[in-house]
Amino acid sequence: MSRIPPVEDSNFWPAGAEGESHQHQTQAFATMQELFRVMAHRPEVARQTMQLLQTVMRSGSVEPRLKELLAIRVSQVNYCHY
Amino acid sequence: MAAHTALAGQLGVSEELLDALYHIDTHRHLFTARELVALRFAEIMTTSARDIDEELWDELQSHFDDGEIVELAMVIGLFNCFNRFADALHIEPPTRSRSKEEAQRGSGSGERKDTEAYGYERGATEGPDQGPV
Repeated sequence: MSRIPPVEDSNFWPAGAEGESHQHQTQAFATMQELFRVMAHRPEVARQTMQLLQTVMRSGSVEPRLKELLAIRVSQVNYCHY
Repeated sequence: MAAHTALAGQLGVSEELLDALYHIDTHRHLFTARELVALRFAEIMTTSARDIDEELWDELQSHFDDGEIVELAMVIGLFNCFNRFADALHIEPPTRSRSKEEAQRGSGSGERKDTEAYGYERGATEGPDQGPV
């Protein structure tokens, strides 16, 4: 359980956007969802963070696939020290 | 594995590619030279950002213009932020039953399009309480 309870009636993360439901990806979606629910104690922060995430991942000229790879790789490096 | 692979499914990054990311050195053929440089930048910026040397910087600049490097650094920085936030606050995925409930609830919002992946938001106060956690 998160140290700060998630705001139950909030949803800044796309709950229906799980796509192919490989087990670990589904769980990962749930975690991101939870992160934004915790952030929702400050809704404006959560809203603008989601907006920033969207802008960072979708705008510009670097291909979205590469940005996805980087996001995943960063998290791998942070959680698996090798 | 948790918040990190959260975005992988949205653009159809395959499971094979996810695994390959764990062992880049033995799967270099799956990535372009441009991707490999960016991935190395991500690794070093994440573990020891001050150690990005001129050699890597030159390599980066041969594949990306200044604006694109800003894009890369922001993706890398933002996900480091998410990882720290989740770690410090012990954020874990909710229980399975609740996830399912939400998946069903979410499916009512129509067809998913990739363009919606990051732009989806229901606001902080909408909808009834979903019951006990």
